[in-house]
Amino acid sequence: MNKLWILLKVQILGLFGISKFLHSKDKKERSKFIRFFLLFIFVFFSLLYTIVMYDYAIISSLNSIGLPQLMPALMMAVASLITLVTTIYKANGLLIGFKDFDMTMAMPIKTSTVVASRLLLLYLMNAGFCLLITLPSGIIYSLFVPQSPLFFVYLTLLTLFVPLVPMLIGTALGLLISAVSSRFRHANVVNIILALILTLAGMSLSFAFPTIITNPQAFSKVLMNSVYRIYPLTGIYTRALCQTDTLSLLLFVFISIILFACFVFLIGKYFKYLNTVYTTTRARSNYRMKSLEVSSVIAALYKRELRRYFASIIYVLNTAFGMVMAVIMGVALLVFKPAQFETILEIPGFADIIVTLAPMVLVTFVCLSCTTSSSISLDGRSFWILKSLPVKAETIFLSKIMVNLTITLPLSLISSVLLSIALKMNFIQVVFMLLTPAVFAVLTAEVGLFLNLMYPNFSWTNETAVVKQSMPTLITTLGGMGVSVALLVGLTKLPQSFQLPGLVAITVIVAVADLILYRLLKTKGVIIFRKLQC
Amino acid sequence: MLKIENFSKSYKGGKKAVDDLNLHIKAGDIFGFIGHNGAGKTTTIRAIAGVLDFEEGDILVDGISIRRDPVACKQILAYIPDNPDLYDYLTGIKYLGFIGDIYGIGKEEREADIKKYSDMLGLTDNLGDLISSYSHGMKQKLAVISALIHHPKLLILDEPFVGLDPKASHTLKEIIREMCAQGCSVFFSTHVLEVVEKLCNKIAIIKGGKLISCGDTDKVKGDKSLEDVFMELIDHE
Repeated sequence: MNKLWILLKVQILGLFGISKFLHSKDKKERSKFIRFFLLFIFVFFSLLYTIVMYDYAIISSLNSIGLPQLMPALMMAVASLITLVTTIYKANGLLIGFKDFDMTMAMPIKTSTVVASRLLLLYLMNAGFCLLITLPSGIIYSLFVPQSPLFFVYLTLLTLFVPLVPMLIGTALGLLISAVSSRFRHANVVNIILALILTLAGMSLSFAFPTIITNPQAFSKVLMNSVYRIYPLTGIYTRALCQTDTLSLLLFVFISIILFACFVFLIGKYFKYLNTVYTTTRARSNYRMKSLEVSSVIAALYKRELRRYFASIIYVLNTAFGMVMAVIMGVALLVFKPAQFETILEIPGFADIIVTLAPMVLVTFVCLSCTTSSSISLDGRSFWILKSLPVKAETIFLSKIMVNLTITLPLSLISSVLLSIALKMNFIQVVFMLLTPAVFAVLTAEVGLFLNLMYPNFSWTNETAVVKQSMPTLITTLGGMGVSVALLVGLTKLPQSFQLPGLVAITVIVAVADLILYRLLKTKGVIIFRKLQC
Repeated sequence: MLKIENFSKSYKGGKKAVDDLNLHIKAGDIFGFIGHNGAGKTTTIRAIAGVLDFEEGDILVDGISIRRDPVACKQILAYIPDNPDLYDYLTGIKYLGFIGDIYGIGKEEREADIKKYSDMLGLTDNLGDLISSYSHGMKQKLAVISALIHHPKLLILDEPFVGLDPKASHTLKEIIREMCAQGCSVFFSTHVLEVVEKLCNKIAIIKGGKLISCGDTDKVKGDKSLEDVFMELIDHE
């Protein structure tokens, strides 16, 4: 137990630069952490606010049809689904293929203890998120259906165990994907596609929730019956919580712990094998010299950057997912027609609203797809190569921006064309459907790069630390989304005749910002780059 | 070929890693740079290679300041760090192709040199494999090949013989001698004093960031072994 705690503590200290904050004497490092912490608090309260608003809308709808008791199970299912989906691609890097594998496994510690420590870290990451979803929803539920104090004790206890089983399922799926894809020559591409399909399948379920708010009668019972059938723990959870049934509570906790223990035992048995398979790359050792390609400097840097991008599954999933969703949105609107959405979602005038606002909706997806916010950090310990090359820093910046635009621009173009056809846009609307997301794509890439230059991390042992949990990534993703949603809401508040001029103004302002930021990268960015050390 | 003038580098907290260092390496020199752990060798080497930024003093490569025109300096020098962390996601040949593109090496010249040096170091068969499958020594060999294919005037190496097998180590020494015979200069750090004694015509000993001895190898060591001289200087300075 003591060793498990020691391992877990070391991993926790490595998260979010906690160790650096505790032990660094450098004021800059400490203030970086404080800024990160403040951002974290801001994100926490923003999420809490969004969740409470959602909870309130859902419980009001369920209450109107006399089914408020579905609320706890529904939110538990949401928390479980999010845990499952986000764990699928965390398995790589956290459980297999982590950089300190050799060092950890050389220690006199049982393999099952190592596995348990890594799964517990995953649990801690998920538990916080589950608490954020289920606790507020439980409290709001109690406002509609008055509860005894015991309800809150049970709610807290149950919430602590909610992430365990979905986390195990997600990890197992992640490992399975890695195992299947490792049989292919281009294992990473197969891995990315499989994980993307699974994530999209998970996400498609979440699309049912707006429908619960707008049309609860038709969907709630059907949906919840399916949830109870697919994931029986939801039923036990509901009984334990809504009827404060101690036996169901104990059963829920018991099943979660037993499954966790079995999983630790099973993975512990194959842990070394899994890691060996994962880290052993095929070496044919039969190369014969042949004719070599020659490229320009910028093409060489771009190709290298692109290979780096596709070499990391978590990097691709985290940054390309938004754009894939944008294309799916375009296809959905083309197939189902806006008028049908109007009927399903029961939003009057949906078709008219979406025509003018479509570019800003697409911008929201573009802002989610920032590769540059971690592209400097991801060079890690090989960053010395870029620093020692006879290449100007701005050329390196350009190659990184080009990779981001390679991900955003073509998919944005496809989505724009699909939306233009589906929404029967006029010429001016088509122009801005193409132009607005494009100027935002450039801005996102530039902002991400600048932030990564300011807050780099070359000492990561797990790519997740820079791809998902770093300050530049959080600021670009959440800030980008916040700004785009704010602009979107702002446009909807304008009279319809002012919406297009508003969109034009936004596009022009962002285009100017693109130029200013490019200039800033070429001046201040270069100075920062020169000082960077890996 | 390489002039280090009043170079100082302080790290966070104000401690000087290198203090007012002056060195002059001429064309054809094989220059050994020795000192105990933390003496300032790697800091100096990284500054020469243009990897480390510095504020005090200057470093001139073939008369060009690394601070004022780093790109021009880097074009004529090659640097190999003590632990060559290369791009794991590229194959060896792709990495060499990348380096060839960056330094603008022509197709024929590139193919010939890659073949020549990878044959010499016994890495040709592995060039089609991902770098992630390489051992430390193989990565070191690849880093050496990548440094040689663009024909640098100045070769900067940090602990170049660590991880190399005896044959590769011997080959690298031969390559270094051949390069210097053609007018290039080699500046390297090492803890293996026997290598310095046999290979270098000049040496510099650094302690606590300060240069404590520098000159022709024969003059610095006199009648004693380099190990004795080194121990004496380190203990008494």
